[in-house]
Amino acid sequence: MIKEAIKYNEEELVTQIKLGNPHAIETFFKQFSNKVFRLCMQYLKNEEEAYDMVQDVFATLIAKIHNFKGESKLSTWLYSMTVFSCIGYLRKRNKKNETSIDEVTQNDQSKHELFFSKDVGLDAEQYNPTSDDLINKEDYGVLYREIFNLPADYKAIFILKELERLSIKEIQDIVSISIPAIKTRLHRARLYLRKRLEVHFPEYAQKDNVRTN
Amino acid sequence: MSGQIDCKGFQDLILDYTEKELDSNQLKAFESHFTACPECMDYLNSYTLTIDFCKEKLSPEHFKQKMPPAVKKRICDFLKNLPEVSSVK
Repeated sequence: MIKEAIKYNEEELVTQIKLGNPHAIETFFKQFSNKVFRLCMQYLKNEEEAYDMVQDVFATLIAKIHNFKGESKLSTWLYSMTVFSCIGYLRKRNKKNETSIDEVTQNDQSKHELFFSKDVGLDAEQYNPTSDDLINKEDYGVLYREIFNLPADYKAIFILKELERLSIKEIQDIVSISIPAIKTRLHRARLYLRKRLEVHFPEYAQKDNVRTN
Repeated sequence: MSGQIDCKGFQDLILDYTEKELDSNQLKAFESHFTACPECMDYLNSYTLTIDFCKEKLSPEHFKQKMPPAVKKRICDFLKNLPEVSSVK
């Protein structure tokens, strides 16, 4: 059999994975493994943990492939599984330092106060820098550390939107929450980062740069 | 939309504004408000600065990480040996 000549469209790929075809599984893995790995790295920031997570995600998907009804793309399902697996893993790993969105917002009187108060609802001091990412004044390192310190719910949406550059609708397909909820989390992530950027890059905060559409 | 919005209304639209998803009436109301409200103008300014800063600093080159070939092979072999996978190759 000339294995290398076989190419699958998505429907065929799903069918073959359901049949346990090892060539289809290899094809699927090769097609998406780098993207899944990159997504895992953005959450976990640890290569060994990311490798393990990649293996777990693909193994779980293969084990549960019969649940896949084809209502979304297979890749969407895969990324969804990746995001939720990483969030679950981070919650267990960082339990002390995390705050859920509900905990953050329950003391706010109203959305208006949240948005206009100097304290955006998150106490940045709650979040300790990760031990494997020492203070790095290079812009990229500092920003990435602050993104990493976001609560899992905010971080999930922020990574998909601002790093993976997905649309709001694509994000909804992955995380299965309402568009208003996605927008709220994205907005709050941005507010938190704005607060942190003022601390690290005060010269940037002074720029006069109103963008008009 | 009546053509006028308050600060709360402005807040509710800001994300859609940055995503260019406002219709023409909403856009007009939004722009009218921030030109007349210094606090909202400030707020919009800082909000868009954050977005622009992230876009500038988080360039795609930083994220083109790939797994080493040996790791990929190890994982692929693991997956092909799962119980769900046929032994017929």
